[in-house]
Amino acid sequence: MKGKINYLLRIIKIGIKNLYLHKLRSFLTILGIVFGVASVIAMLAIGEGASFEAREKIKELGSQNIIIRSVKLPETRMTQEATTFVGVYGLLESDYKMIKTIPSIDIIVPTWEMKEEIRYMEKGIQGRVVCTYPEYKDVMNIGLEVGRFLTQIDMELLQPYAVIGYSIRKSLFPSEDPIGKTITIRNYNFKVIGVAKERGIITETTGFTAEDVNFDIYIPFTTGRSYFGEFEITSKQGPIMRWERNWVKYHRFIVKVSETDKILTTSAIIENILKTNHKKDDYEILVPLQLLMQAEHTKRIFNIVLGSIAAISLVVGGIGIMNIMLATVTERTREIGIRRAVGAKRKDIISQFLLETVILSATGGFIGIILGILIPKLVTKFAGMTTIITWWSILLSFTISVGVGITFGIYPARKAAYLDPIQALRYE
Amino acid sequence: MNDKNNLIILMKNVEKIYNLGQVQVHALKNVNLEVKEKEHISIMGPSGSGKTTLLNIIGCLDKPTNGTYFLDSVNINQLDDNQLSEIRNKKIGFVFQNYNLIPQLNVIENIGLPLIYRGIDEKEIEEKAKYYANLVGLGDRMYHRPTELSGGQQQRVAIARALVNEPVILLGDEPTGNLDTKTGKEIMELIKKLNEMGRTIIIITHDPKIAEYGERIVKILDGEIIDER
Ligand SMILES: Nc1ncnc2c1ncn2[C@@H]1O[C@H](COP(=O)(O)OP(=O)(O)O)[C@@H](O)[C@H]1O
Ligand SMILES: [Mg+2]
Repeated sequence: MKGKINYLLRIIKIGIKNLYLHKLRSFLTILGIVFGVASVIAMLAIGEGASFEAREKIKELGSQNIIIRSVKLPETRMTQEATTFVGVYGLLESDYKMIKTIPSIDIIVPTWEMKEEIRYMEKGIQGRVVCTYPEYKDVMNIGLEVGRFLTQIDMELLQPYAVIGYSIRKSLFPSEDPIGKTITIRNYNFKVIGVAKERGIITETTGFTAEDVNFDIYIPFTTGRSYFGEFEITSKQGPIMRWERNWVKYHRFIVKVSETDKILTTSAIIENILKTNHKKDDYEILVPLQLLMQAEHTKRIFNIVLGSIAAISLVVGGIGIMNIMLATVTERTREIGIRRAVGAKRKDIISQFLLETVILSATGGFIGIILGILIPKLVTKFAGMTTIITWWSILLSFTISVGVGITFGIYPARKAAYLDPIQALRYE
Repeated sequence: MNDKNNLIILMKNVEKIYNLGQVQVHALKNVNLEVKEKEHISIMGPSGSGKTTLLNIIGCLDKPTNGTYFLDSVNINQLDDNQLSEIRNKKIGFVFQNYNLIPQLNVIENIGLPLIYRGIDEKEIEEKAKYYANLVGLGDRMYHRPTELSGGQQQRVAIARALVNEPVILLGDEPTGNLDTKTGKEIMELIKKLNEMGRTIIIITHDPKIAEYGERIVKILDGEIIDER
C-alpha cells in the first residue's frame, strides 16, 4: 500500500515535470477545458440566480395571487379643455363586481394609486400612494417594522392614517420615530401609524416592470377616495405646462385564489370577464405562478444552449488534449522503450500517460473553476443579475474535466503501452 | 561441481524469424547456448549477423520464434508481457551502445529508474542509486543531467542503472561502440571489476581487444553460432 502511494506520487511528479517542460503547449492544450468548465459553472450560476430571482419575485407578488392592473394606452382618446386633457381608462366597478363572484376566489382587494410627493417638515420624497383595504397586507405579505396596518374601522371612519414603506421612512425619518408624525400628501395631512418592513427589490428580469414597493405608502381606500376622487392627474411636458386628467376607477385588483391548482383557470375566467367589459386592452393580468413557469422555461432553454456550448468546448478540449498526448507519446518513444527495458509493465506506462493527461485536464478544470466563479461575479457587478454559484456545480465540472482527461487520455496511453520495446529503443 | 544449478542461460535450438510482409528474415538459426554463473562472455560477429537479436532474447525484450530458452531456470517461452517485464525488472541489467538515459532525469533518478517499478520507498531508491553512482565513480555527478556528462560518464550511469536491481546477468550491446579507445577501455575495466565481484556478464562487441576481456568468445555469422572458445 505504501509502495503504491510512493509509486503514484512518483509518477505524478514525473507528469507535472513533463508538462512543465512544455509550459506554453500545456497551457494552450487546456484552454478548451478551461472554457468548457468555466461556462458550465457560469451557466449554472446565472441560471440558478435567475430562478432564485423569479422565486423571490413570486414571493413578493404572492404565489396564489392574480394581479390585474389598469394600463393606460398611448392612444387613450382625449378631449381637450383648454390646457387640460381628459381621458378614461382602466378597471371598472363592473369588473370588480363580476370578478368577486368567481367561486375559486378567496378575496379581491382593489387599489387606487397615484405618484405623489410625500412631505414631512421641509423634506419631501416621491412615493406611490396606494389607497387600499386592510386585506392588502395579507395578500401582499407586508410585514410591519413598527406600528400597525390599516383596519376596517379606519376605513369606516375615513381616517387620515398612513403606513409608510421602508425607503420613505429612511428618507423622511432617518433618526426619528415616525409613529404619530404628520406627513402631507397634496396638502392633506396624514398621521403615520406604521412602517412596512424592507422588501426585496424586484428587478425586471421576468418581463414586466415592477415597482420598488419600499417607496409605497398605504392609506385607507375610503379616505383616498374622499380626498383625491377618481381622477388621476399628471403633468405633461411641453412648451407650456399642461395637465392630463384621467378618470380611473381602480388601478389594481389583487385577487387571491383559494387553491394553487385553480390559478390558471381563474385567470382565464378573469380574462373573459375583462374582455367582455372592455373594448380596449387597457388592463393587464399578471399571474406570478405563470411568471415562475416562464422563468423556469427560460432557464431551461438557457441551460440547453450554454450546456451545448460547454459540451462542445469540453469535447474540443478533450480532442486537443488527445492530440497533444499523441504527439508526446511519439516524442517520448525512446523513453517508453527505456522504461519498458528496465521493467515497466504496460499498465505502468498506461498509468503514467493517463495520469499526465488527467493532471493536464484537471489543471484546466481548476483554472476553469476560478474563471467560472469570476464570470458570474462580473455579471452580477455589471449586468446587475443575481447569480448563485452552487458547490455541486464546481464538483460536477471538476469531475467532468477529470473524466475528459481519462476519456481522451486512454487512447494515447494505450498506444504508448503497446509500443514494441525494441522498436521504441531504436527510435531516433 | 553442480553444472545444472549454476546454469544461468540455457538455449536450445532457438530461432528468430522476422516477418516483413512477403519476406522472412531468419535473424537467428538454431542457436544453442549455455552460460554459467559468474561467466564473462563476449559475442562477436559482423553487422547484421544477429547479435542484437540474440541479446534481446537473452534480455527478455523479445521472444524466440522457435526453440526453448531458460533463464535462471525459468522457461521464458511460456511468459506473457507482464511476466517478461517483471523478469527484466528483477533479473536483467541492460547496457546499450547509445546509453539510453532519460534526458529529463538526473543521474540519481536515471540510476533508480528500475526500482520505481517495484514500489520501493523513495529514500531507499535514492540510497541504492547513490551507492551504485559511487561504485561506477560518479559520486560527484549525482545531480547532473545526462546532457551535462561525457559519453563515458553517461555509460557509467547506464551501467549503474543496470546494476541497481542486482540482476542475475548484465548484458551489454556494444557498450563501448560510441566511446573512444581509452574511455572504452575504462568502461571494460569497470565491467571486468564487476565480473570479479561475481556478476555474470555478456557483452557484444566488434572490437577484438574488447572481446578479449571475456573468458569465452561466441562468434555469430548470419544468425548462427559458428565458433565458441
Ligand atoms: N525488428 C526487426 N524487423 C525485421 N528485421 C529485423 C528486425 N530486427 C533485426 N532485423 C534483422 O535481423 C538481422 C539481425 O539484426 P541484428 O540482430 O540487429 O544484427 P546485429 O546486431 O548483429 O548487427 C538483420 O538482418 C536485421 O535487418
Ligand atoms: Mg546490433
